[in-house]
Amino acid sequence: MGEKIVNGFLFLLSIFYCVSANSYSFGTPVAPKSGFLPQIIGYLATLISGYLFIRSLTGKGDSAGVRMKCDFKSLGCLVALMIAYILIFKPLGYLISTFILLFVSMKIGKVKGWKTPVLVSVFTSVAFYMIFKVFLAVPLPKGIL
Amino acid sequence: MGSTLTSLFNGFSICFSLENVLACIAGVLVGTLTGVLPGIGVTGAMALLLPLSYGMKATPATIMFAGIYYGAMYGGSTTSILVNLPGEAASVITCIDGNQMAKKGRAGAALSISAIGSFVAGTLGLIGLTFCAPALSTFALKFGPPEYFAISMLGLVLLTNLTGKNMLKSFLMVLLGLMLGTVGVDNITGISRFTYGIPSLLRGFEFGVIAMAVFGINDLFGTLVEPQEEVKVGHVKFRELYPNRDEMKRSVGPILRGTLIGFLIGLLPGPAGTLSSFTSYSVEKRVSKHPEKFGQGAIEGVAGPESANNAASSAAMIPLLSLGLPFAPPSAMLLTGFIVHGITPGPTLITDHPDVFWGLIASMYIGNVFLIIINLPFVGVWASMLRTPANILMPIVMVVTFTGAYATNNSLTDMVVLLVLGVFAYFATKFGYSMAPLAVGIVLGGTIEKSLRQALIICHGSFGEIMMRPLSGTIFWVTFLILGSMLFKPVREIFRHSKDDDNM
Repeated sequence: MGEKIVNGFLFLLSIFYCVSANSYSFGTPVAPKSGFLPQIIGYLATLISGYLFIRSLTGKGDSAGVRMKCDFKSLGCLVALMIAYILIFKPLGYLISTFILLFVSMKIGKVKGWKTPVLVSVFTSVAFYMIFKVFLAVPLPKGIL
Repeated sequence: MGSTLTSLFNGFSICFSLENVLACIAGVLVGTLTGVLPGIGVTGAMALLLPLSYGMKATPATIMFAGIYYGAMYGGSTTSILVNLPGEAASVITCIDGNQMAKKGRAGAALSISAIGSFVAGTLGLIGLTFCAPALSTFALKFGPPEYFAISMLGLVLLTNLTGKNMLKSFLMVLLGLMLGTVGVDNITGISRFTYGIPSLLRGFEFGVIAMAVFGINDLFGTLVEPQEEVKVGHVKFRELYPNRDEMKRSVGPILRGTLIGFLIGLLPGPAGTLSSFTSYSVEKRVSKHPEKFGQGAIEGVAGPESANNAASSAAMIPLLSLGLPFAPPSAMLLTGFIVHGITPGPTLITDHPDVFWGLIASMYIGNVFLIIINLPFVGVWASMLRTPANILMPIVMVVTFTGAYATNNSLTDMVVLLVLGVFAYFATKFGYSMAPLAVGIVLGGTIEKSLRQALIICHGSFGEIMMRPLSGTIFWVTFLILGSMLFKPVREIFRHSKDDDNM
């Protein structure tokens, strides 16, 4: 199932790219334009991804028997946490959002107790804030602080 | 020869400044750590450190990046030998005999032979790099767009052949890399492409962010959401590090053969470190008088592969430094490091930035000495790093990754790209797609498009004319031969299957 989804995604992506590439001028071999290479690679990608997708649909894909060993619940939580981090990054600021990201991800990773996650989260967020903001002059968001 | 040595000595004088020595030490330390810790790949680590180099000058920044690359090859063997857990793909084969030696109480000997082999191969590889890169650079000055297009295509075809298990999947990843590389403003006409009205896409995708996603976030998911084996790290005392006379004698041949194999394979596109270590192992097994001892703790099975992957990392620098064409993800990351600091590697690098070129090469000699110093006496310290719980380490790596992505352009779009591509890479890797062709495709995309369009204009739109040029024509014929041999296998398979179906 997983292989069908990955191949299907790549097939749709290739079609989308191919359609978009057609909106740019191909030019001629003597005077190639902006759409020249994108159209060639778009058609090639659609062809190959389509072939791979059909093979996986008919059960002939080379990863047909592959089963993922991952904990999907933890993976879902991690991805949700990362999305949340991006959303709160500017409103709450670097220090608070990074503290939350670290603390929750350690809890998802089953780190026991409260002391270690809290200490590591505080120390790491402050340390990276100092490195990026002070030493590298990266304008990290201040947020509500 | 004389001018090369003079330039190299100048490189040493540049490299011995405090700033450059510190950059070299930082690079090899991070590289060793990257090699030791499973779950953090060398390209991901380089991508993570890219934002930290923004405040540095070009020479120390490139010295640090190169240090991470070849340092990782050293560190990878430590965990392979001590806990049967390769820190890097290039050290997978070392597990077989290295860990068997550890079980027999010869861990110290395996570690020291691995470090000595790495040092010898790394240094010999560097001598090759010192003399080959300037010679190739001088030759490459004659290259025009058709030649650059031909070499890039040859590199991508070889990479497709050598990476992953399925050639079509690798080729699709190359195409995906090229697709991502076309997003943004077209360098020739100035037209914005595939931006869909999003202003931050005008500058295109940053290679550093993509490398962090497909190597960093991908590895991070793998470590955090997949069951991990419990690591039990043994203690190795300093006095146990001496190999005996017999082990030393048996290692000389494998080290020298491994160096040669590694150097030659390092010149090819693809995962040179991994390929060279596997090739070296099979060669050693074949030439050995006692092949039955392989797999039971043969020192040759450690000495050869570990030497090969270090020589390969030196040789992989040759196409990058002399042609400006990276054919593997770590060298693509090095190229990004160069570009970030306003330097374009290629044939003119030696004349335009001799301080960077020779400073970098000299730093690699010094870095090799540092590596043997920090790897042998402190092997216990590195091994103890493995006791750091992944569920604490990985969230910290995640923060560095996201902060690094944001710091690239101070944009949330890069963080979104990081997450989306990271999730895609995790699932795609599980189903047979290799991320190395994608990374190289992105980096080479710009060169390929520019050189193809210029080549067609120069040759009046005739591909035949490109083929008539001696150099580009020869390279294309080689490419077609390789492509033909690659395609022949799947076609033969299809015919065989259809014949089987008819018989049924």
